[in-house]
Order: sequence, then structure tokens, then C-alpha cells
Amino acid sequence: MPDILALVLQQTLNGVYLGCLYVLVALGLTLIYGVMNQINFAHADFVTIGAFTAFFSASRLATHVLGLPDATAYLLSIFFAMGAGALLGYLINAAVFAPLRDRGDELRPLIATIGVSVLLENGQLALFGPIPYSFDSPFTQHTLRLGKIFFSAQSLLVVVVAALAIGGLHAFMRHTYLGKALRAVSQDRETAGLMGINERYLIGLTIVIASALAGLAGALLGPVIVLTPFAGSSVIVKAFAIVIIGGFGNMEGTIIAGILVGIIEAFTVQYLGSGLIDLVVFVLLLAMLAVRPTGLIAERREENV
Amino acid sequence: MSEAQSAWQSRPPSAAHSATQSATQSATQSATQSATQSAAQAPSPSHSQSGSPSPVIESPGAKLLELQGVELAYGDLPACRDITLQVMQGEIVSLIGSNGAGKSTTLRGVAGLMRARRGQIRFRGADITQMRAHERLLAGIALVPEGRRVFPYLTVRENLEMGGFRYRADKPRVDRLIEQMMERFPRLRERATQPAGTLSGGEQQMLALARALMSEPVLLCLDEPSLGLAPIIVREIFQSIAQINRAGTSVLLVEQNARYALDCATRGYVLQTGRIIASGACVDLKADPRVQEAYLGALKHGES
Repeated sequence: MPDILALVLQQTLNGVYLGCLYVLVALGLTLIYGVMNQINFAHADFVTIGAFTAFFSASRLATHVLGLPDATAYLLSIFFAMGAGALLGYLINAAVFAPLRDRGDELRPLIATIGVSVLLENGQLALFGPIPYSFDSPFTQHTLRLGKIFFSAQSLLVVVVAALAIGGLHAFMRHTYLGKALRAVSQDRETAGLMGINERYLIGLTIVIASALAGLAGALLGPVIVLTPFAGSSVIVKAFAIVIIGGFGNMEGTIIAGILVGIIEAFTVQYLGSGLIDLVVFVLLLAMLAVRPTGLIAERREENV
Repeated sequence: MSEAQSAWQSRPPSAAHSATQSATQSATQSATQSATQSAAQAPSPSHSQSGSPSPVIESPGAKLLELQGVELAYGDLPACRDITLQVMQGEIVSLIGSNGAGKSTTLRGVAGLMRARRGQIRFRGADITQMRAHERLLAGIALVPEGRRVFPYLTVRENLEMGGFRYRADKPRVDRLIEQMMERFPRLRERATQPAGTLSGGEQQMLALARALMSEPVLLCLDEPSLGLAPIIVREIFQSIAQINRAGTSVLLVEQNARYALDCATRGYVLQTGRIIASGACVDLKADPRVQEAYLGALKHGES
């Protein structure tokens, strides 16, 4: 295999791995926007909480209390992180978002998401302190080799888990009664009510799913990012860019845009240097907004969510 | 369920026809009464023998829906003031009136899309004033909204599934109901896997109607079913409405086209600027000079 081809393949692979991480973060944002037309500024903090949950459940609970080997502990911690995200999403929706939404105002819940974000960040700061934790995945050390292409077991794990999550979400949306009802709510909330669909319940469900995805993303991102109470914000800006490039509320577009941004980032690192990553991504975002403000696949726009 | 289906399809047309005729006759005899004060009259006999006693149906002639002094508002702006009306079991009742008279608002209030800020709404004896839309559907009220409002990116079949959301735990029942709807509206079968947004206006109206019927409502509310449709399709839709009614479902109909509305219904209410200004049997209303002048245009005595 010629070197240049190997290099391109290598960077594409790295890009897909990065992209999968972004997609997991961005999907929750796009899901919430698609169903209830609301931007959730607290999404980053659900990612952070997922990362911390994974860290503590892997490094303390699973290994010390349950005595599991590192690899099993990390895999288990992914589920803990999802559960923590889902639970927190449920609680915050019940305590803050739902009561505000019932007053029939769109702005108040939006601002409340900023408030929740501040609350969660400072809560974690008080609990975990400002010093970064070092969260190592046992899979990072294992390197797999395919000809001249190398990748870590961790990146393989990320791609597999992301594929499962995306596939599961897709199947849920397409083939279950509840998933179809979610799509109905996203298309016409009032008429969904006329079908006997309780949209309050489905909106709560949307937030739980989105938060579980954020928790999952946190568990996978934990070993990659600098784990502090503000860790989520380092990826959330890029996730917002991806959601916009993909067309707000459009799931397919978000997945494509996420992978695309990951690949562009990998090649930027290779050819231009890592300092230019954000510049390239956001120039792309601006170009996108100028040329096609409704997103990547708006032309043959199938549906939101 | 199967009873409802058989009544739906295999009713001999002659029986239905004669029933309608006798209704027309008996109503004509009382045509001298004032058209404004007969709101609570007994329903026409055409439904007393509708032979599909599906388990949800009470005795014919019982009060099904009752609005008592209902006021509905958009923000601070009242759109309906002091609406008092009844729908009896088995009836078709029409609300007519010009644009902005509050007909659609009244229907939205009945379906729970708007909460009454004064007055009371009772359905099958129970106070439903505070119920939300999805709860009213479970109580037996379905609304075909103005402008059809099909879910554009769901397929025709998925739209029907949404209509049967209350039976989601009972898949055979949903499948059976969908089969009935496709039997009833063959075009929907042809288009079953298409996104509903790609359907023509008439097909969308049929889908919206079928979708509402999926919940097996006791009271079917229709908001402007003829809006923007070709006359031939409107005729089809109104034939379907009559059939649905004969199978035992009561109907509350809002219709801009007063002639369709009065021809199809047993009783009617006339709304003007958010108030009921006249009510009575449709034959009486058709004979009322005010109604003729305002809503029926060139309709002359003896016509229709």
C-alpha cells in the first residue's frame, strides 16, 4: 500500500472516531431542538456529569468495591454514565423545564437551561474541585494494527458504541409506537395532542434520551478531554456547529455533519497543524450559514428527528 | 367492533334513505316554529334505529355534549362569548357563520386545544372543562382540525397509527382499524407507504378523517372539511360523514359552506362575532330569512 493512501486512510479513520464522539454529543442537542424547538444550553454539563460518573464508577466502585478488572469496569461505567445522564435529565425536566413550559412561554425555559448549566457546573466544582482528573481508559493502551494503519482499541470501542447508539435511536424512531409519536410531536405538537398523545410525557422522554446520550458521550470522552467540571464546554461549541451544519433538528444531517467535521479535523491536524482546528471548523460553519443556512441536507429534507 | 364495521359498510342504502326522508318530513312540519329557540329539541328520528350498538354508545337522544356559557379567548381577546349548545347522541350538528365568527374556536374549545375561561363543558355527563386535548380524546372526542394537519413526514399508515395511539398496546386492534380505514378509503391503501405530505388535498382530508376515526370516537368534530377541495371530493367527504354518523358516531361540524352544513346536519347553530344568534333544526334555519340572506346567498324557497 502506498504511503499516501495509508495516510489518508489513517486520518479518515481518526476522523470517524472523533466524529462519532461529536455525533453522540450533538444528537442530544438536535433531538431536543427537533421535538420541542428549544436549545438546551445545559447539554454540555450532562456530558461532564457522564464523564465524572464514568470516572468514579470505573476507578472506585467497579474496581475497588466490586473487584472487576479494568476493562469490564470501564465498559460497566459507560452504562452508569448513561443512567446518571438519564436520571439527571428526568429530575431537571420535572423540577425546572416542565413547570416553566406549562406557563406557555418559550423564552423562560431557554433561559432556565443557562441557569441549570451554571448550577450544574458550580455544583460539580464544589464536589470535585478545579484540578483535572486523569481518566485513563484501559482500552487506550491496546493498539490494533491493520497493515500500515494503527488504531487504539478505545477508538474501535467508541465507533462501535456510537454505531449501536445511533442505530438503536434510529430503530426506536422508525419502528416503535413511541418513537413515531415523538416524530409526530416534532412535526405538529398540537395535532399530536388531538391523537391522544400526551406531549408533556413525550417531551420528558426526549430530554431523558438526550441526556442519556450526553452521559454516554461523557463516558467515552472522559479519557480524551481534560476532566474538570467544565469539560463539557470544550466540545459543546463544536457540537453546536455540527448541529447547525447538519440543519437544526435534523438527525441524519447531524450524523453526517458530525462525521464530516471529525474527518476535516483529522486532516487539519495532519496538514495544517492542530492549532488551526477551530479556525477551519468555524470558517466552514460561517460558509455553511452563508451558502445554505438551513443545513446540509435541507434540499431533500426528509424530516426532523 | 365487528358490528361497527358491518354497520359501516353493509347498511342497505334504501333503509338509510327512507330514514333520512322521514326525518326531513317530520322536521318540515315544525318549520313554522321560531328558528332561534329550539336548540334543545329532541334529535331527529333518523338515528333512533341506527343499528350499531358499539359498547360506547348510550341511549339515543341522550345529551352527549353540553356547552354552558363558555367563553374562549386568545390571550385577552375573547373569540367566543357565552356559547351554549348541545349535541345529542346520534346527531349531526352544524355550526355556521362567517369568517371569524368563532366557529373554529368553539370546536377547539370542545377538543381541548383551548381552555374555556368561563363556563362549563360537559361530555357524557362528566365535566371535562379542565381536561387537556389528549384526555378528551380518551374520553371519546376526536377533532379533524382545520387545514387537515396530517403529519407530513410520517407515512399514511403511520398517520393512521397515530390516530390509534390510544390502542398502541393492542397491535391487532390497531391493524384491524387501519384495515377498516383502508377498506373505507381505498386511496389510502394505494398511498400507505407515502409520506402524508405528498398527498393531494382531498386525500389528506380523507386521511385526517380516517386518522380521527382510528380512536373510535363517540363524538367526531370536523373543522371545515370542505376547505379548498373540489366539489366532487367535498361530496365524497360528506357522504362519508353521513355514513360515519349512521354507524353511530355523533358529529359536530363547522363549515363555511352553510349549504353543505345545513343539508348534512339535523340541527344547526348560527354564530356571529363570537355569539350564537340563531339555532334550530336545519330545515328551519334554511327557511329563516336572516340565514338565507347572510349565508345561503341565492338560495330560494323550495330549492334543495
